[in-house]
Amino acid sequence: MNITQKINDAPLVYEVESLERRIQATDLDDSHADPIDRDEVYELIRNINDPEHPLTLEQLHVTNREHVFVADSASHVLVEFTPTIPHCSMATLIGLCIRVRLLRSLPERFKVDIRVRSGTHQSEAQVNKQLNDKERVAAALENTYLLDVVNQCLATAA
Amino acid sequence: MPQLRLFAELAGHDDRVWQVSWDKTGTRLATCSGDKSARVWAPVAGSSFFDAPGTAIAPSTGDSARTSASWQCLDTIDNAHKRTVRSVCFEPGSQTTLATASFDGTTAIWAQEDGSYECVATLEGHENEAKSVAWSPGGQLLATCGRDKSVWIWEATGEGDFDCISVLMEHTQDVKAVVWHPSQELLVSFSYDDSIRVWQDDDDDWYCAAVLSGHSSTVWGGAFSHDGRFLASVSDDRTVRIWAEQKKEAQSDGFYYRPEVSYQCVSVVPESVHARAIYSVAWSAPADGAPLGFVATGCGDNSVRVFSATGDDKVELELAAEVQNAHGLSDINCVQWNPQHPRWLATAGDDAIVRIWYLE
Repeated sequence: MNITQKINDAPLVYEVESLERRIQATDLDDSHADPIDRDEVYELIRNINDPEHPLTLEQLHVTNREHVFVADSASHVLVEFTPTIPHCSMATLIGLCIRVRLLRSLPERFKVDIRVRSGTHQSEAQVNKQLNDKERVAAALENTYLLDVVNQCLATAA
Repeated sequence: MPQLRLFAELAGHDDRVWQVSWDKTGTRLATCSGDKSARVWAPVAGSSFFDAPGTAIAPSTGDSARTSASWQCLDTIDNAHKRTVRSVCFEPGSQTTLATASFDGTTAIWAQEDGSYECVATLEGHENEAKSVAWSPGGQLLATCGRDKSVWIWEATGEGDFDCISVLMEHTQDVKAVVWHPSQELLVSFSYDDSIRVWQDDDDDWYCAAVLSGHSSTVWGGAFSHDGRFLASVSDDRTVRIWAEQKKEAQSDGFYYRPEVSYQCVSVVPESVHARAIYSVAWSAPADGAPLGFVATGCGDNSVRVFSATGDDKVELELAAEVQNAHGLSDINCVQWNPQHPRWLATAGDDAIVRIWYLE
């Protein structure tokens, strides 16, 4: 992968939203189980760094809070992301970063689907298929070079 | 309604278990894992375990899992490969020789020498991840497949030597699994390109005799019925499809012909039954109430399901048993019926545990 030549060298940069969640009474009650919600999942992924810019996925509007879907009782999370350009060759890498971040942070019970937002990538079906193939993901995570790149993107997210 | 009862748990792998494989006598089980190892397990009492398995147990969870007292791990091949061991199978007729295929691209043949497993051959050729290895029922041929879209056929030439006799390059994407026909020299491959291909040989020249299209996403694997008349396939599209061979007249082009076979999809378990990708299917020997045997599936929705198969030309599959969270909240990666002890099923999951069940 040639990082020096950028796929999209002048992306639009957006203001980040402030995500202040009001503390609720049940938050401080240890006997009350707090379900995992959209805000919590979004918080995990918003600060992932873009593979080719020193900007977060949130700043580039690659991730968007409204495109995170969480069903805690069904242990299911769906994250849709928007590549900055429709031929972005970084799309699978970005998706992999989101998947790894959630894999490391969410309880194991969660099944996670990562998809390109419909209509935002010219190879949408291929990208989605690859990102949701557990065998390909397992193989990718044994590739030390790729894992280094993923870890660099995730360094800002923790 | 029949029920799957759990009789043993095999704990030892440190990462997800990808595949389990019985030896021909049904008294040994080989397993392989993301922890780069393969293991061989056996019931302590040998085959009499299946007649007197003790009492059913409840599945354990998380770190509390221990190998049941009725089973033992005979051997561990640690660091069998440099990366995940994706597939394992016994040499037919042997309890001590096995093949492993790995994401490191190689397939290794292991034989027991002086009590421990030694690598007696390494089959190299795949460009990257090897994903499945299968020994032909007669033991002369070995098939492997991988990420590089190819299927390789190897011939055992004796003394642990294997020659590659064919490289089949017709799939357009990764090949996920290979399975041999139980009695004919016929190989089937299942692919990320959504298709299934049937391979035959014509005077040592292997060719594609049929393409089975119907699944709308990755086909993860398949299994023949006991008599070889039907093939079940499972997919990321959440359906199970049953295919039947149709007899076709041989067509000659004047010089020579290669007989083609044709398969028709005769039954579909609709996507409403399985909630996520189906990773594995196994087809048992005939049983009471299921003259075509039982079809078991392992699914990404954490369930193991068993269907009774009936019918003659058209196969009817009826859900006979279902265990939700059979491996806790983990995907089920593999299901395999014991070849000698009817109704005994081994399953493997992302929870790193192998479980042994009996269908009551």
